Amino acid sequence: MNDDMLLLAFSLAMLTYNLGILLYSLPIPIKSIKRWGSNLIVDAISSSILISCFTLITSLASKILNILGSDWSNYFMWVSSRVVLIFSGFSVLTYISGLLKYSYIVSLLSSPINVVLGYLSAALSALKVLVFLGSFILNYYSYLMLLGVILYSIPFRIGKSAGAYLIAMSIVFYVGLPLMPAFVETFQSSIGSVSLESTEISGRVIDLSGNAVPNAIIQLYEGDEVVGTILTNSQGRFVLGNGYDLLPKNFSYRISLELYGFTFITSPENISSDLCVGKELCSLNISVPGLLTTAGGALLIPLPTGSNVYEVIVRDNEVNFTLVTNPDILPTELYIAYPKGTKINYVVVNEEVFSCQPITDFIWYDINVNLCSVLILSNVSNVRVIYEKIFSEKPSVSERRIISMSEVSSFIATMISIGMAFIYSLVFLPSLYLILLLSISVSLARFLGGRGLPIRIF
Amino acid sequence: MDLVEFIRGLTLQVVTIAWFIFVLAWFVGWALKGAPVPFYRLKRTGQSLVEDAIIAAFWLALGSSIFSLISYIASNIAQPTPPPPQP
Repeated sequence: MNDDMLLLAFSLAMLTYNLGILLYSLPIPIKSIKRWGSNLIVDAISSSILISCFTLITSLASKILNILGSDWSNYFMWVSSRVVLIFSGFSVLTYISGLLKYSYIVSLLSSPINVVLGYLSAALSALKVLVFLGSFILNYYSYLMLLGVILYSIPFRIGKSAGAYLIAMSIVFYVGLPLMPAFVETFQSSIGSVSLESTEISGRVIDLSGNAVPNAIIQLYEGDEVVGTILTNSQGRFVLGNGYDLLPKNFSYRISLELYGFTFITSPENISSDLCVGKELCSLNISVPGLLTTAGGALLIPLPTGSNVYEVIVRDNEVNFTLVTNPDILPTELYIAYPKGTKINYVVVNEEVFSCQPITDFIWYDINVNLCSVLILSNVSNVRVIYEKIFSEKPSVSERRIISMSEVSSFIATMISIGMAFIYSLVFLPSLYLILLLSISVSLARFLGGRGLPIRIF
Repeated sequence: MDLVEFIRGLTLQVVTIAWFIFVLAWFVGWALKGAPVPFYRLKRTGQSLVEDAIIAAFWLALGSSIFSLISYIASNIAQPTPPPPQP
């Protein structure tokens, strides 16, 4: 292919040369015709030099590329790493804007997020253009040069300037484009990763025997006002912060745990910013002393006031424990709450079997909860509950995340500066560099396709 | 390649025409120079036509040699540099 195109260019150069001679030898005594003839001869010689040096020029371009220490694979790696960064930013911001749909200050926060999302889209489009340009130049630069040489060799200077520009552009871009990452890295501000830069508190909610409490609702109070509602997952885990919430710098919230219609006091009773002094990630396990549950949340046993539980054994479909109650409150009732997906077979208290028929049922966040009770007569009782878990349900509650108004302004400023950094580093600087390369190409094209060689044919 | 063949044919025709024009310019030049007319400018034009025809014939005869010389020099430049001598 290359040889065929070079042969075509060479034939065109020969034709130009002979046409020049033809014009020169015409028996017409007009100076301009003679000048055209000599110009054509010189053009043919210069284009034949260019054709003969084609391999030399391409190898010279590769040599310069090596000397400058740039590499095409580095260029593509740089672009793809930026694409990954933008996608991570996209996912974080779309997640945050999804959460804000449930917030009461939606419009205030979602507008800067949308602005930044727009900036990120622009940066992503710019990167796609860079990928396209890079692969186009890398794969086709020799063809572009060949096309330039052919255009350069066409008689009567028809395509001389276009050919010179193509040759110059393909050389300059082949050598210059892989240097773009170095250029951008020199001038860019830090773009880092997109995050809310707030503290994250995570941990598990456990009952008195250390079992996880899944699908429970953590209510956070500031004074008497509920500021947050967080649902634990199927492993009893909860997360506060980390893109879910915009926590203020200093806070202290009272915790209460709600499950199957019962509300419990937790240990610790408060969650505060003092937990995370100087740390971005901290862990807190919330234990609930008055609650006994089974793995998977099939049963909930709220303990009677002033009683303790020992020797808890949780097996599949069976819970066994020793209950020590205050003798002053005897006889007392032991309640067992269970959702519709659980069936209680029987309860054994001190070797006495009870069927535990539900005394009442109610709806707790779309979960049908049954409640049964067993009479406790002695202060030390061995209780065994035999049950079957058929299916589990999640309460249909929409979480209320904490959005601190005092942090909103800094959040907006952070978002805007992140967006601007992306635009500056991934749109403005590459565009500037491309303009630089284009102007260098124009200069080289003027050198190649200028007024021709300073040779006079007599 | 058909296009290359076409251009080569065209070049051949141009060369042939160029030779004819050289002969024509030669004769026209000498005819003007030797015309029994006492106009100096006419004789001067005839003189320059003959000179141009000779120069064009020179370049026409040298044509392929010039191109092969350029190719020869360029191919010598383009060859890789020899390895450094081993002791």
